[in-house]
Amino acid sequence: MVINFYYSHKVFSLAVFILLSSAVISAQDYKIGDISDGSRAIPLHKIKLFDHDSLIILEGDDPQLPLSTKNTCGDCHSYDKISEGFHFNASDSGSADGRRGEPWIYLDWQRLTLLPVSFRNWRGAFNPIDVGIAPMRFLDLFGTHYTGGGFAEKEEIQSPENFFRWEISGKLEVNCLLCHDASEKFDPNEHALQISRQNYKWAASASSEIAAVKGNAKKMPDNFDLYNPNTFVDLDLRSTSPPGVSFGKAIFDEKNRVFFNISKSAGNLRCYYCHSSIQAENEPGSHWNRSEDVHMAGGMDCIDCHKNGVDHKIIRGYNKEGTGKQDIINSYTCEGCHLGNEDIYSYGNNHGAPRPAHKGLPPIHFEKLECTLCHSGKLPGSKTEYLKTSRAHKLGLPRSSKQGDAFPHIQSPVYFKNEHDKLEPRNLITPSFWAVRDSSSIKPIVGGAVYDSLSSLITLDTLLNYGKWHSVSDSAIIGALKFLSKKSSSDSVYLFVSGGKTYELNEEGGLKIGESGISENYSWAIGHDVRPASQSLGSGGCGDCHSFSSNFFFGDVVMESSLKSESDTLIAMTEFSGYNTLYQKAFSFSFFFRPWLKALLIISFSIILLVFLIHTARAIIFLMNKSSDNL
Amino acid sequence: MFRIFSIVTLSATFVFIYLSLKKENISLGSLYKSFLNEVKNSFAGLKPGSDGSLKNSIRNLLIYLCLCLILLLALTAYIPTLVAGEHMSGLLLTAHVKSALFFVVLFAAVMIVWSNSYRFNRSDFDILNSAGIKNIKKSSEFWVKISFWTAVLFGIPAICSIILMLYPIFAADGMVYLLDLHKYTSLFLFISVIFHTYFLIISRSN
Repeated sequence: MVINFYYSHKVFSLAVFILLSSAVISAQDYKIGDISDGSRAIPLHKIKLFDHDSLIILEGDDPQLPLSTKNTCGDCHSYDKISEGFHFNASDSGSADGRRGEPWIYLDWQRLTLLPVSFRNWRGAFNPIDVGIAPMRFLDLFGTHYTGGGFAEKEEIQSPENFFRWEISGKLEVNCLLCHDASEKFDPNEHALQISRQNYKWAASASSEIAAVKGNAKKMPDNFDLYNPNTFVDLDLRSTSPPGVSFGKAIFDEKNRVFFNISKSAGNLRCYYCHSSIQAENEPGSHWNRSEDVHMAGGMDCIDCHKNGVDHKIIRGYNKEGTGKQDIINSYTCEGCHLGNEDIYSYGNNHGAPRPAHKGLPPIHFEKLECTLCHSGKLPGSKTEYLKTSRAHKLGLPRSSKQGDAFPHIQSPVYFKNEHDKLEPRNLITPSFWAVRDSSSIKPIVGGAVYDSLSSLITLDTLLNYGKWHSVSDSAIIGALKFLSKKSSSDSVYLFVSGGKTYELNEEGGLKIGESGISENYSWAIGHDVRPASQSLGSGGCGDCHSFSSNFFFGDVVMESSLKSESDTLIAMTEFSGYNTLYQKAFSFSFFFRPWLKALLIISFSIILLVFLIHTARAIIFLMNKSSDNL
Repeated sequence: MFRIFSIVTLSATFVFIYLSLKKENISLGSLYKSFLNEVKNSFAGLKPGSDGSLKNSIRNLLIYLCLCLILLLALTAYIPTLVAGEHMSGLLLTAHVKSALFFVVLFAAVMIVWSNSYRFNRSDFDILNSAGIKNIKKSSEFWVKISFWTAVLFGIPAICSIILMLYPIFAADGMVYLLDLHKYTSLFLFISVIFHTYFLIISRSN
């Protein structure tokens, strides 16, 4: 009896210990700031700053070191979880890349190169590492609109020859303040400037209002050491200086804490820094015709739809993004808000989203078309127009080109069938690049001595071609390919890809033209700007699309090519949407007679109904007479 | 739901018709030949100086054309929906829409020309009250009339629903309802026409 009690007591204690331990362990999976307790208020962020070595930053430090978001914000928020978010996880091998999106566009017009690159596994985009763009070079090219994190923190993918540069610049951590610092004095341009100077670990401090950063890590020697002035004694400090930060006076309180104006979202204007787009127009004042997205104009925030949890896996909001019917992500698509996800919300209308009537629209349209086709982007014109985006054209930066036809040229809108067999509007770029084909694959060339020498081989007429993508004669391409082929091994063949075609030397020394997967154009779906219902495609009647001169079916897409013989080819929209032009013309032509056909239909139906009613009346009268006879 | 329902009802209809015709020793081949002959004779009757009555030729041609059109409508509608399980689109939809217009015009003409012939009379009421109604061969003329008016009864909502869909009156939910109404009433219209044709064959074989 005593022995039984002893063992049962032991077992009970062990069980309690296991339960408590698992509770503690699971509690350690989340930090205090990861999960809301339900309060809608934002806790005041008066916090201590930590540097990249996890040491607290004090007001009197000399030299002062920049704050580390990983250690400062990471004190209360799980930085590792957050850095798996969609803005940061492009280079993660296990990340869900989802629908193809806007790539980074490598542009070198002097070498006729326009190449979509992305760390994501999107068809048509090339991995920067595979084409010779090391992470540091990537940040030089595109870092102005990069949030930090991801490949910029991973040592394993960094190029060995940049080892010392990374030691000087530090890692570019996720800049949490880019999205969460609601201060009006936050400057994303400072973040961009510091990245362009390779002052990576200083970027977050510089962008906030609490610090100022000077100096240029890019100009420091490989052996630069901030604590050892001998390593930069040869520098002309009049023209450059080591990177350094100085925190503002009186930002530290008596407990060495600093106030941050933190919000769940810093507002739409902050998102617009990276996510603006404008249909390029060169006429002065044409931007007056440009209205904001109807959701924003209605007072909504980007994050009202593009939600995320602590994992920062932000909802992109496209059809079937969620993995199952029950997935709450589906509630934040166009249909989910405006029509309701029957499994989660029986009535939809998130944020007062109006339920669309779509009066008179045959239901087949909802099976064939995405919502964005009629409601997003610019209305189709007789031919596609140029679009400029923040990331492709460095919008918002002090020296970005304000020309409507600045490179790269993005054609918009172009209508494609997506993976769900539905038509959607997209932006399109026509890649142009030099490549080498060996036995197994075709690989673009964007660096190296051979690539650099191409500019001397190609003479561009920048005066006459101003604003247009440069094109050269066939002989110039032949000459360049001949030059490259002399440098190649026996198995490799150099080719040039442009305008949706591949060009390589044939046996006679001329050009052999072909098409392959690599020469495909790159396109990505348009989600914004959403137009109001009165400006949607079809608001003017069936003829908006189903007419003989409809731009939707029969507009032209400008296909730019680097070859004069192929440049500015116009291709009908139906080639991209997969519809037969002749059939669509015939079908659209029938709409010309539609009013008369409707009238004929109504007259015939009226006759049928009238004859039926006459006979029915006669039958009723007969039956009434018969029943009265029987009585 | 519609797919399963229509497959079941159409299959049952065709099986019944086939077995009934087999019982009467009427083969499909002979039916097809006699139909072609009648069409030829009707066209021949249109020529001036022919032996046949012009009025009868026009009457017959109207109903034959109507039958051909409803067969075309059924094929264009049911091939994508029943066979492929998809909605109508593309060339089949275009063919369906164009032939539907001609069908409605011809249907109106058939109503004007044939409705009087299909009026019920006292003898029809006598058959209704007698046990002879179960004998299809004996009461075939009665059933011809019933099937004709059933077809008209289902044809009216089938056509009306499409007319309402042509105008921006109903919202998306209403359009779906109208489309469902059109689908089901058209199905019953088609079945009524099949039975009408069957009863016509039986009554002529008598």
